[in-house]
Amino acid sequence: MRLFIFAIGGSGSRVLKSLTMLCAAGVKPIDPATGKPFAELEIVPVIVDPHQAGRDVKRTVELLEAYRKIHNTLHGSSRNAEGFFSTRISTLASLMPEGSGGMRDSFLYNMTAVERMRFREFIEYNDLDESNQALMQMLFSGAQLHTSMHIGFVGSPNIGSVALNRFKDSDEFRTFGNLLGEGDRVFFISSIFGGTGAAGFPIMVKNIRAAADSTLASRGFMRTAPIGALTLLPYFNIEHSRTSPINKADFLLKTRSALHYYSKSLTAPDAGRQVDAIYYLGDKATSSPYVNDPGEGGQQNAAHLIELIGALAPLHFISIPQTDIGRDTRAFEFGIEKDSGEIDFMTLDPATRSSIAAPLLRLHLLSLFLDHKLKDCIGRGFTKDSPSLGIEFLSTDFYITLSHNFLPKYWDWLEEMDANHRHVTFFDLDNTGHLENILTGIPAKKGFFSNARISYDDIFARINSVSKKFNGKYSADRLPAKLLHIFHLAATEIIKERFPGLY
Amino acid sequence: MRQEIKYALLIGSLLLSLLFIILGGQIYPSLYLGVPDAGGTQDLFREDLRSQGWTLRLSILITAIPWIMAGLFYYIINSVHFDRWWNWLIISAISTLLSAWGAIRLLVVRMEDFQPGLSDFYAPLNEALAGWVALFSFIIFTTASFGIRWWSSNCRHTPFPQ
Repeated sequence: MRLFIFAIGGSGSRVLKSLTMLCAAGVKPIDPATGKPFAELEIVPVIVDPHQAGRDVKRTVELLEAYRKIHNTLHGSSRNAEGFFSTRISTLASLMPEGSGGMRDSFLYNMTAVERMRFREFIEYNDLDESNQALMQMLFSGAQLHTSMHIGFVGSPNIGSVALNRFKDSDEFRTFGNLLGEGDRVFFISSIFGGTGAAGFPIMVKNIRAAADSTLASRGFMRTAPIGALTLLPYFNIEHSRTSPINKADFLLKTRSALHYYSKSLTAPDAGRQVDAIYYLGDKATSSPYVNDPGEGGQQNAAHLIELIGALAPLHFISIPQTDIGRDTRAFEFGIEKDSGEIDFMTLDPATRSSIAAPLLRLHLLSLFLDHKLKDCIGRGFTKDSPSLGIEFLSTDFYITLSHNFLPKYWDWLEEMDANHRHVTFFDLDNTGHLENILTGIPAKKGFFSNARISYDDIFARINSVSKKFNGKYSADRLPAKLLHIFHLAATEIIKERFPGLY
Repeated sequence: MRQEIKYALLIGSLLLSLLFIILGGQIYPSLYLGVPDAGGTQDLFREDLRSQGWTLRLSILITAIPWIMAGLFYYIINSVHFDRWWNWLIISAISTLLSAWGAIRLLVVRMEDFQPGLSDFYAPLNEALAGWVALFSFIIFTTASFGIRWWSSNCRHTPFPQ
């Protein structure tokens, strides 16, 4: 099964970042038919944002590229892997047969045609006759007509809805149309209170459904493909700026008008089959105010709890049985156990906790172990099992990508969520030694023969124990896969014994 | 390393130890003890070792201590804090000294049971024999290590990688 995710605008990118972290930790949707993780799952994200130089977009693209590199080293082209980085994340171009087109191999939807223009040039304002120019002036303010779209639609959904209507003519859409097959699903991530996402989502859904009448290879599936969407309601605060077109005071107004439009054209029973499932997510608690920068650099918003929870929506959508799809639009909301400013794993409902807590703890332990212990282990224990792991492993492309590229971004993500409001305090981030206290609010259970302490040596010993079974089972070129596999098994044993409350 | 080879090494080291116990009666009396043989004391000593059945007890002791110490190192201590080659060397030194001391104590007790004052008479020979015991003990500790270390979780690569 392929899940095509269209992440629209800055919020789309940030949710995708959280989803990438969850995939890195090994979080997978469960197939209700088998009770096991979905087989053959592949995620194909497409970031739709005209502001491609924006910091949020750049950070997500870099993260996805690092993820893809790590996944390919660990699991090759397998779509049935387990453990860290096990879900395959691909670009549209990488799925096309070689030599089938010149589309760039990127997670970004190519919006060169849009981003180079001012809006008035895009609609060819000067070529319009007088009456149409007057109509345009009625629909768009003077500032909007002069908006340079390389910085996005800066909170103007009326611009976005026009510009993104070109989606149906793009290479990406044609490729998507040729790849979409039976059993595949489509998911949209967007915010409702900005410009790009609020406008892009309904337009793109309509483009897909309307493509049933096109010449695309999968036009039949376009009408019936299950489509889900995460719609982010206001959840963050932004600094007030007189010069910026982005204004927090407009958030609620835009949300109301967009919801009104969605209810009529996307989710109403008489709207025809548009969206099969929609996830509404927002937070009344005000986040720390972000810097208001609609310009060249664009927004770089700190990671937020809502984005992490939002990342669970596409995974939930995959799990909806086919038999429950195709009737009226189903709407989902999310709640936490306790309305608290401090969110730890125990604040989450048991189902969410059991799906993300243990994987995230494993990834956290991996990061700490690589940083604080692996070097000391070299020449001993599991590192001498075949294939052996020598000091040169620390300079391999794989290790550098994982340890110096991906995992620091994981820490940034945790620190940003921790510093934001609500504070996400899953882990005690200052604690890099006493691993028994690594989880906020959940102390480790005492071991049967030992005290409550969990040290790096305990992890080392457990990896040694697990590694025995895999001695000689991996070829030398699969050393990274072996390391992460045995670590995954060892960490799972430790977590089950010492943090049973996470399951 | 293949599982069959590991089992072969275990069986080989066990057989070597068994052989040592069986052949103890021939080995000890023929050892060069390096002590000036005044009045045929060495011959007497060798004769007593053989005739009093001390060699079998000695062989069992010299075999048992290294095996127990190896088992202790690989399966009881079995720690990532104690998995370096010098940790193995420390245990082998303890095993060797313990065997040598145990051998002397065994002989002294047996000799005194047999004839009070005999242990003083044989003291230089006992000490010379203890040197050989230490050597045998070290060899048996090494073979035992290579026989059993493969299944240890933390020390299977000590003193050398597999």
